[in-house]
Amino acid sequence: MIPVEIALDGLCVARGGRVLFPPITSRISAGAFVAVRGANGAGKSSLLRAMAGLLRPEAGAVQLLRSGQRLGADDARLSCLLLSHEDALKPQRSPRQEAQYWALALGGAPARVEPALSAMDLMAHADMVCQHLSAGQKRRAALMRLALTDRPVWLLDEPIANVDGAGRTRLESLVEGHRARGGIVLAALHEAWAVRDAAVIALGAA
Amino acid sequence: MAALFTLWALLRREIALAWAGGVATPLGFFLGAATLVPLAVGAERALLERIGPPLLLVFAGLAAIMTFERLLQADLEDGSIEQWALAPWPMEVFAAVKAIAAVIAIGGPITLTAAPLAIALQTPPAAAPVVVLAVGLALAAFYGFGLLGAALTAGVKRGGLLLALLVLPFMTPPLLFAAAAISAAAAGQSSVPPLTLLSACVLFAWTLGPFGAGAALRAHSES
Repeated sequence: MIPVEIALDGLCVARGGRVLFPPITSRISAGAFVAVRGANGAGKSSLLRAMAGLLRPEAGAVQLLRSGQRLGADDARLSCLLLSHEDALKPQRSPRQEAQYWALALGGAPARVEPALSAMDLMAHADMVCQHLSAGQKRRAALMRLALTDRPVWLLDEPIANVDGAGRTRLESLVEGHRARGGIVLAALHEAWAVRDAAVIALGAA
Repeated sequence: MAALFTLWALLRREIALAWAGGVATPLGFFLGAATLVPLAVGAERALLERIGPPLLLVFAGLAAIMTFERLLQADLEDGSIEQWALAPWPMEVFAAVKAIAAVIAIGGPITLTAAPLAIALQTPPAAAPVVVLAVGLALAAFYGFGLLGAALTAGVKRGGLLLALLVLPFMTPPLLFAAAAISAAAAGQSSVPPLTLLSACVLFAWTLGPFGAGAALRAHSES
């Protein structure tokens, strides 16, 4: 993984014609953890989607920089891994099958499927179909995608919702490992989550 | 080579999903409707011989339309399409794989059962290979257009009716050429000209379908 930096340059996102938050200008360096906080509807998810290039900013821009060079749209897209509210798991498939699928679809290595399953402690349920998993287990199966690829920017939308203490600890170790390799983690959070050296982007009303 | 292996793996998964997701409903509809025809119109040989194959094609088209709405629905709801937008493969590839899997998993069984059904409806057995070819190619064309319709109506609540209205006009030419091919074969004439035109419809559907669907899905994931 080649680390990147993120430059938010007066970023402003609108939904349904309404500007969600005042322009954000910020620089996020390699290895950073940024908690995105704000009330319901403050625009946390929209900010993450805009950073993944899935939402066109109303104003300003998101730039990904690799050793000072600005990345093109395709490279920027392939540098981001988005974990949204939806788990992207098929109810009739097992976590192992879904891990194999997403490893191939997202350009990860099939050899990382088993380590990813054990990283989120899913080995005992790896061959159960997802519709029989609990909400927390499904969330863990979705979080497993983090360990399938080598993308430098993780955009996590409420990653710890429904996840129990042990699962949070495992996610923390994934996050810390990612940061140690120079990765960036942005997480939209409601709950308190103790992560060392966490920066905060607080979204208020525009 | 590695890319081909990956595509094959993606396709296998979609075939499994399409198969498990309900080949029974469209196939059951196709079988049931075709079985009802002689009961409804009577067992008059000349009449069945004339209307049997066209009706089979209409039923195959309707069975396909039944499945269009589900083509991309699950992927839209569970966030898969959003993930595809961040994948190294273009959206067109994911869309095409989805529709190819539907042609194989749903179109395949319908195509294979069309031959015995056509014979049961008094089509000469010698024309059975042409029936299989015509129904198979027609379904391939239908799914190319269906993919585009499914992508355009993705996210529209209860978009099934809109989808059918969008796709029906496009389904007419392949339907005409497939019916012409079967009636030519049944009359002992060459079915090559209509089959050639039918193949052209398939090519048109599959150049329009995946690219249109890719663009529509990208626009959808960016809204």
